[in-house]
Amino acid sequence: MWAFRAMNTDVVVAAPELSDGAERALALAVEQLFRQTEQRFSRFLPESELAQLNRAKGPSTVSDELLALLLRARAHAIDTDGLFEPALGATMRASGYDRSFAPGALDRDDDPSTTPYASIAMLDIDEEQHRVARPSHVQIDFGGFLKGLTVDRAAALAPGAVIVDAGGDAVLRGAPPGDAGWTIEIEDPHDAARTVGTIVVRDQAVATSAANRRRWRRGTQTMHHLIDPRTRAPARSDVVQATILAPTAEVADVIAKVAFVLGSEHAMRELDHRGLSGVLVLQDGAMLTVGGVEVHHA
Amino acid sequence: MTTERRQPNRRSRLGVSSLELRLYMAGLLAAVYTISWRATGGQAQAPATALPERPIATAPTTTEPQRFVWIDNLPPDMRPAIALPAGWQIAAEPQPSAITQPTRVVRVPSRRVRTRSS
Repeated sequence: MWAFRAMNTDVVVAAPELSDGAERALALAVEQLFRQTEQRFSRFLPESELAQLNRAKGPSTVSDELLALLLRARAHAIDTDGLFEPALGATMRASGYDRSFAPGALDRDDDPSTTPYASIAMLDIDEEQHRVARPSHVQIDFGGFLKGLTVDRAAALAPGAVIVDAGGDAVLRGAPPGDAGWTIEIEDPHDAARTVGTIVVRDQAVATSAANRRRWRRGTQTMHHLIDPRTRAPARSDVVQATILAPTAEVADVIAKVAFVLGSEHAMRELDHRGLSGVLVLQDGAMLTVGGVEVHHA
Repeated sequence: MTTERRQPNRRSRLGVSSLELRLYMAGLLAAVYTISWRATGGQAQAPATALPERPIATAPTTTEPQRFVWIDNLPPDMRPAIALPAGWQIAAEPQPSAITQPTRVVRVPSRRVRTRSS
């Protein structure tokens, strides 16, 4: 198992069927993929292509890759009726999330400012000419969607059984020798040192959304990074953590956010409708499972 | 019709046997090889003053020792005068993107992966 830091999180790679040398070569290729993706599409790096688009005053010509990302993100926004919204960069900034997160780094004494409604649907995208124009308040932040997509692409580099995990967004293909699948711990959102149980995953991806790790203080308010696009404020529902299993980490990440924002009742209906499974941890500590996922308790 | 001129028999004239002659030849070749090897090997192991180990050493200015500096990063008045062979020139520092990035991948003990928000 190999590890590195990227996208402000720990990434681990393991491919138990490969030799040591081949597994290391895979990890190096994955690290390069993450580094290049972050350099190009992070909203925090001023020279990234995404940051340049977010600063542009008029129409911009974008690369094939950025165009594809924008179209993909827009498709998720449409598919989720706007509950997944990658155009909240300005809202994130106004809430104080204007740099890479570190505990305490975002705390400020003044209250957060409000921002107007923004949606990726407001982008004027010319697919033929690769031209993108945006209203000034529409700023793109791919966030976990990009991380999930990168995990999917990284896993595709490996032959056979592999796990690629980026801070909780993971693809788990095949299984370690002799096992039925990969055993994954689910963090307890009320106490990050503990788990609420384990699940065994094979040939699926998993992603988790919770507000317990990226929190900061703005004036008298406690903020977190999961914004409800309808209110443009940190989402408040009875779900404190949503863990979703899906065919890809990209989809798992998107739907985990949607489930967190929706709350348990609507989230369970949504997961059922999509044929996905998941584990929801509620404010009162209760745990709900959807889609037949089996949680093993320690 | 061809004629063949026979060489006189040296063995008998020098008074050495065939085996002794071969030994003399082997010794001679070994001596030549040793001299040649010493000559080329001696150059590669010249004193450090002949070939500096690092480009240009400077006193460390921070707590982290700086082992070398690119010459074009030095203020002009600190750059040493270097006499270059005709046709040679000093190259500029490579751009960061052209430099091989040090790997940040490390082996970690196998463990269970934990899914969480990040």
